[in-house]
Parts: sequence; structure tokens; C-alpha cells
Amino acid sequence: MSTKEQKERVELLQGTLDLLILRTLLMGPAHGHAIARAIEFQSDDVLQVEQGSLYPALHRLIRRGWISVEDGTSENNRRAKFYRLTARGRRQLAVETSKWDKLAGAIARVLRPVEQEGKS
Amino acid sequence: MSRRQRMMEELDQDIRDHIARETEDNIARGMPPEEARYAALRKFGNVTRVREETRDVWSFVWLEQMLQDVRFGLRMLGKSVGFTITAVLTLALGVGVNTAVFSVANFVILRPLPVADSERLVVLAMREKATSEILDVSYADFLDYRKHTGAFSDMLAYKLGRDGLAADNRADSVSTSYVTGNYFSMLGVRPAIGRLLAPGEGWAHGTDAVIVLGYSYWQRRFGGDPGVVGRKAFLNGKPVTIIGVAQKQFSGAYYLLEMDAYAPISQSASATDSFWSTRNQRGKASLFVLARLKPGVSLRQARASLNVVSAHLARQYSDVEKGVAIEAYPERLARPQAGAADSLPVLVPLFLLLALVVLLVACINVANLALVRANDRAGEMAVRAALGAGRVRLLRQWLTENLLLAVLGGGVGMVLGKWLANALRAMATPVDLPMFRMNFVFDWRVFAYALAISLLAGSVVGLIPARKLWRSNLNSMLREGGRALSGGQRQNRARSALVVVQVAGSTMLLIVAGLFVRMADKARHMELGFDPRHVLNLRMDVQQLGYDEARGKKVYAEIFSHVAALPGVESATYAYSVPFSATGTRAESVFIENTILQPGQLPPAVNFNIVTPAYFSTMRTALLRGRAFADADNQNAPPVAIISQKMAEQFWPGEDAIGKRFRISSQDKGWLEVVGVARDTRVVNPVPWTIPYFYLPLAQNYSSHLALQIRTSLPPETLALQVQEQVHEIDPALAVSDVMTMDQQIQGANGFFLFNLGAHTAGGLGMLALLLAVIGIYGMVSYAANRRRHEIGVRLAIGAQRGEILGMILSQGMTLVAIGAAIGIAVALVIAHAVAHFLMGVSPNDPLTFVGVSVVLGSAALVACYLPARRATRVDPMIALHCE
Repeated sequence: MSTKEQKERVELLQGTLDLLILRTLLMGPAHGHAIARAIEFQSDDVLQVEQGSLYPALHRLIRRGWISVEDGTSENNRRAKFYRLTARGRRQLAVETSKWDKLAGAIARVLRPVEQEGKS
Repeated sequence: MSRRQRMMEELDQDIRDHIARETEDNIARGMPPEEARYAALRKFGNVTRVREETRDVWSFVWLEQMLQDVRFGLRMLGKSVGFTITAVLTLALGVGVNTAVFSVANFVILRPLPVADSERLVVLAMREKATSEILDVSYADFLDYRKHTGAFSDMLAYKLGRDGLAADNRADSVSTSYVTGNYFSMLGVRPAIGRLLAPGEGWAHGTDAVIVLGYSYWQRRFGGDPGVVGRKAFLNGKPVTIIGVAQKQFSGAYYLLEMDAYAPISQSASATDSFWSTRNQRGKASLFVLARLKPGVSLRQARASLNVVSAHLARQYSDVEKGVAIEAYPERLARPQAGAADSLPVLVPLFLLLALVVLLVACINVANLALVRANDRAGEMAVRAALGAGRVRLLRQWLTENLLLAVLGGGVGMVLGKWLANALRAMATPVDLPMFRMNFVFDWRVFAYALAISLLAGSVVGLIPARKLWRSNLNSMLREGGRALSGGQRQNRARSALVVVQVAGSTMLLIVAGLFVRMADKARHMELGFDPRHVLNLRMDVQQLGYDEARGKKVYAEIFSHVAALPGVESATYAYSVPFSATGTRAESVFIENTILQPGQLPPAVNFNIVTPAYFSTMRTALLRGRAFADADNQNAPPVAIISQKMAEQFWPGEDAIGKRFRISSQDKGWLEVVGVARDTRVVNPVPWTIPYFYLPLAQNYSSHLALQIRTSLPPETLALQVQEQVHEIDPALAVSDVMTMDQQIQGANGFFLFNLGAHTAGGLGMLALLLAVIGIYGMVSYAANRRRHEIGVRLAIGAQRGEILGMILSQGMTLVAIGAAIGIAVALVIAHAVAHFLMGVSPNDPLTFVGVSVVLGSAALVACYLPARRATRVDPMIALHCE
């Protein structure tokens, strides 16, 4: 399934997609395609979601009760499924974000000294 | 529609929308429509995989996989029908035996008495300190314990009787419980119709002449007629009123017997049974006592509180109470009465263990088959692993397959077990106790146990080969075309270990079974002291018709002269008790003339019989000294007795007992003079040791309850009808019961019944284990010999003798057998010593059993080794070498 185009992009860590979806929905309810676009856009297309993989993730979040799904009408008057962050999802996002920050910080601390050494 | 289906439909729509939008975006960016759609699809990825992953979110993955595994397993089992049938039947045998044994255990110690809150019922009994024998409780003691022990919310007492109940001009012999008034209320039993005894009823003599019927007797005798309530009836000739019928589930607190009627304890006053008139004598113990623990009180606390009362009684009535201690047992472990509490908790687990050993041996046979199958399947497993099946998943599939096998085997086993239990029940109903209540119900406990051991068996069968599947390197297995699993030292060691376990298990089982068989055999060949052949017994009680002594004597004399005149009758005698009879014997405290009891020493209780002069000639019990009773030993003559050899030795050691005198407590007839010494007999219980015993003449000691014993030159059963006709000719209303030959009688509940039951059950288990172990040995040696065909071919080709090779294979097989047998013997020794107490004089080291079992097992194993070994050496070296 890999193409040349995808190889240059960063593969998503498992679980990260969940975090990105929750983060995206913080801005308001959206349909699947819009979520995929938003993730690509926000990450300057560096994080490339194989768009289909969004859906198992969405359903996983529904099953956990972090998001809900409802029928709605999109901007061009088409019926669509809209995904909405629930209160539990909002709380979860806070937890996940702080976890992510800690992880990112830790990785950064591990990597930085090496970089500095290399430069000096 | 399930939530999952709904979500999946919505997903489909969502995916279509998504791709449409992306296509539109692409067109907006200037792509041609065809390319736009293609780009959108590519960007979306694998639609099928997305759908599957989403479906997994909504499904119980493990459940689906399990169903898959089950389907797959059934298919694989269907592919090898031979293996499946052999394995299922072998497992079924093991599970069946266990189910049957457990259903007996369940009946004996697990099923609750069908009364309210039966968990908190406690059986009380006395234990004689000197002999540590369990005794019943006296009425006076019962009243004191009931009043002064704080640990119980209530306490009841009852005694059993065999009585005449007459209604509508028809008399029946019924089993009766004489109960304290609180019997029903404490047990929480409700009436089916009418009412039951009230707690305040029946404590005083002469009041409350009432009776409660048992449900099944009411159905049998009165056709379930609700009109019996209020009807008049006669209990042993005395008028009583039927007040009600106990509820259906309840058949009495005495676990093994079904009660026909319940009467107040104060009614228990017949001429033979001096219970009520002697109720204040603490030495007269004849009651069974049940108590209910107060909420929150433990058995230990209850025992402590009983001991306080006991110590108090010992101070107050030191003559009787000092020699006894009070015991309390959970009701389930003291069935049907307290005496069982010493043996049930040992014997029941022992038999469960024996049955489990059979299952283990059976499992190992199936595991061996499964090992061969695992080898055959290794290639398939390797291919599937290479195609990406996870190791855990493959293992799970393998285990599922074996658990399926176990469930199939367990199902068949339960059917087999039910059948075995029924067979056991038919065998286990003693002839002399028709009201014996054996009910091996297949309740949830039996079902759960059978299921649990089936699954256990399946895990054992599956896990032994699974260990290999797990350890083996799937890659190398694939390269070698699935050979990696077969062969190898490790596998051989595992197979050898399995055979050792099988041999050890079956050796142990055979030895324990052998000890039980030896015990039964020893009991059968025991010197009884009388000749049981060609004797017919029957029992009557004129008290059931309310006859007084004069009328009773007259009726009995008439019956005797009629019966004695029948053709084929050699001699006849009356006796109060018949050897090993379920009705029991009588015992009395004996006071020897010129012997002073130490303070705190109890007068010894001695069993006795009441007989007519022809007794010793009819029973063929030899008189060693003195004379038999004569017609002259009547009411006007001085009271006399004949004693057993053992009694003579015990009370007058080194002296001539003839002319010595003793007295018994309940009869105030003055001193009894010993006029004869009879040889020892075994008549109370079939135990190897002898007990003191004495005989009194019927003419001086009237009893309304008598057995007529007839010695005949004909087969005794042919006389049965004629004799009953004679009785009914003289008195049509007199019920005759327990008509059976002496040979039947000694096989009864108090006779050899339990010995035979134990020996048959243990022996059956032992033979089964031997058979299964022999199959196991045969399989192991065949397999090993087959694997070494190549090597054998080489040896033969370079000039080895067939005999040497035969010897080599045999010695390898027999070494394992010897190791297994040695372990089995060691374990059997430990078990035998643990149950030595129950072996009735058979030594736990009994050489005959140990040597016999070793010889039987050794020769069977030798044959099982020899056959495949010989086949292996018959191989043509050229063929053996070529086929590799």
C-alpha cells in the first residue's frame, strides 16, 4: 500500500490519530472528510492520514463514548454524519494532551544533547 | 437490528460520502473526473480493510474467533474420525466413572437435607472416652444440653421405630420417627395437608395421642386422600389421631431412611422398648439429637459451649457422665448418624481420588494419541504460521480442538455416569432395608463437577502436546516439512514420563482396591459362629396389634407349633434379634456379682439376645460348657443366662463362669445365673474381633417383637409362603416382615453390604485403570519400536540377533513399568496407612495384595511390551532401511 508519496511523510503513531481527531473536534462538530482535511491541513500535510484509517478510529472513539455521531447537513446542503466531542471526550483530550506533552518533552530531552554535541 | 449492523450501514454511507467529497475537491483542483475519483480512492486506502477494522471495533473479537475455532476444530475432528471416536470414548469412560462416584458422594455428603437453612444443623452425640466409640444421647442429657447450651437456637431429639399402624381394619409395618414436639418447627417443615406437631406437644406421657404421616406413605397407603386428617388409627394397638401429612420433599431427618410416620416421643413406650419409663436414666442413651446453630455462632464456639455443660454434668452425675464426652458434627458429615463422622470425611475423598486417578490414566492415553496427531499436524501449523497466523492464535485453536474433544467426551461420560450410578444404586440397596432412600440425583453439583473434570481432562490432553507446539520453531518446522516436532530426546522423555505416571496411578489404585477386596473376602470367610445356610427368618410384633403378654405368648406358641409341623422344617426357634439385622440388637449395662466399679467407671454395656431352648441347635452354635436353655427355665424357675466365651473370659478370667451371677439394669429380676458358655459368634457387625454377648430365655423375658428362625432341609426360600400362610391362619391381622433367608440377611445393610459395595466399586476402578494403563504401555512401546525401525534394521543387517533386540525393547519398556510401579506402591502405602483404621483387620502392608498386584500388573505390562517388540523385530532389515 505504500507509495513514494507517502514514504516522505511521517507515519502516525498508534493512538496519535485518536488524539488528533479529538483535537480537531474541539473546534466543533465535523464530518469524516472534513476531519481528514483538517488533520492534513493543520500538520502542513506532514502527517498523512491514510484517510480510510480515520473511520475505525472514529468508531473506536464512539464506542468509548468520547465522541458521538449525529445526522446533519453539510455546507452545500448535503446530508452527512457529523461527529461531535462529548463531555467525556473533552476530559479525555485533556488527559491525553498532557500525556503527549510529557512524552514529547521526554523525547526532546533525550535527543537534544546529541544534537548539541554534533554541532560543537 | 443490532447496533453493530446499524453502525456498519452508516459507515458504508460515510465512506461513499467521503470519497465523493474528495473527488469533488480533486475536480475543483482541476483533475479530470476519472482521475479525480481514482486519486480519491487511492488516498482513502483499502476500503475492505477499513470496513473490517471498523467491524472489529463493534464485535466481541474473541467470541467470533472462538466460534471460528470451534467450527475449525469440529472440521478437524471430523477429518480423523478414528481418533475422535477413540478419544471421546476413552474420555467418556474416565468422566463417566467420576460422575458416578461423585453423584454418590454428592448424595452422601453434599446434598442438603431438604429443610430450612440446613447449613446450620449440627448432629450431637456422646463419645465414650475409654473406647472412643460414638454413643447415642439419653433423654435426660438431651434436656440438659437443650436447656443450658447457649450456642443453639433450638435442639430436637428423635428415635427410630418399626411399628404397627392400623387404620381401616388393615395393619402395616411402618418406619416411625418418635420426635420431640419441636421437630417440625425447628426443621422448618410444612404440612402437605392438615397440621404437624406443635413445639409444645408430646412432651408429657399420655397426652397428644397424635400421628403425622410421611408424604409417600400417605400416597401409597391412602392414595393421597385428604380425608385422612382427623381419622382414628392404631399405633401398636393404641388409638391415635392422624393430624396431617409432612410436605413432599421431607422424608425424615435420618438421612438414609424414608419415614412413614412421625409420633410424639412420649408415645414411644412399648413392652420391648423401655425408653419412656427409663428416660431419666442417663445411662440409657437411645436418641439422635440435632441442633440448630444460632446466627453468627460457629461450630467451634458451639463445641466449647457444649463442653461447659458437659463438664458441669460430669460433676453432677459423675457415675455416668465422667466417662463420656459430647461431640458435635455438621449434619452433612454425620449421615445418617454421628458414628459416620469418623469415616465419611476420609472414605468419600478416597473414592473420589481413586476415580480421578482413572481419569488421569485415561487422559494420558488420549494425550498420547493427541501427540501423534500433533506431529501429523505440525506441517499444517507451520504453513499457517508462515501465512501470518499468530502463535497464540494457533495455540488457542489447538486447545479449542481438545476442549471440544473434552466436551464431547464429557457429554457421553455424563450419560455413562448416569447409567453407572443407576447400576450402583441397584447394587447398593440392601435387601433388608426396602425403605433405604438412595437418590443419586443429577443436580447442578454433579453437572458442574462433570463439566469441570471434562474441561480439566481436555486441558491436560491439549496442553501436553501444546507445550511442544509452543516451543518448536515454526520456521525450522516449515523447512523440514513438519519433522521438527516428531522425534527428539525430549519427546521420548515426555512419553516415558507419561507411561510412568500411568503405571504409578494404576498400581496405586489396584493396591487400594486390592485391600478393599481382601477386606470383603476376609469378612466373607470370617468364622461367624453359626451356620447361615438353610435358615429362613421372618419377623413379627404382636405389640403392633396391641396384644398383652398373655395373649402374645399364646399366639406365638400356636404359630410355633404350626410351623414346626411343616414338612421340611428341621427345627425352629424364636429370637429377639437376627444376626446383622438392620433392626439392631439390644444391649444392657451389666453388673457382675462381687465386682465393685471404680468411681467414674461405667458398667459395661453388653449386647444380648432373647431366645427359646431350640436356638443353639437351630443356629448350630456350639455350647462349650454347661447346658442349653430348657423348657423348665420358665417364669417360676430361677432366672438364668448363657454367656459367650468372650464374656466369660472378660468378666471371669481364669475362672469357671458356670454358676457365676450378674444382673442387668432395666430388669429387676435379681441375679441371673450363668448355666452355659456358648462359642463366640459374630452377630452384631461383621468385624474381625469378637465382643461379649449373652442370651436370656424367652420364657423368663417376654418380648412382643420376635423373629422366627427356621432350619430346613429344603432351599429356605421355598418355605417362605407356607410359613406366612400358617401365621395368617392363626392371626390374619399380624404383619410379617423381613422374610428372608439368613444368607440374604448377612448381605444386608449391617452385614457385608458395605464391604461388598466398597470392594466392587474399588475393584471396578482398579480393573479399569489396569486396562487403560496396559493400553498406554502398548501404545508407548509400539510407537518407540516403530520410530526405531531404521536402527533395528541396521542392527539386524550387521548381524544382531532378534532375541537381543527383543530384549532391548522389552527392558526399556519394563524399566519404565518398574519405575512407575515403585512410585505407585509408595503412594499406595501412604494411602493404605491413612485408611488402615477402615480396613477391618487387613494389614495396610498386606503382602498378598502388594505382591499380587505387582505380579498381575507386571505380567500385563510384559504382554503389552512383548507384542509390539516382537513385531518390531520381525521387520525385514532391507525394507526397514529402504523406507527412510
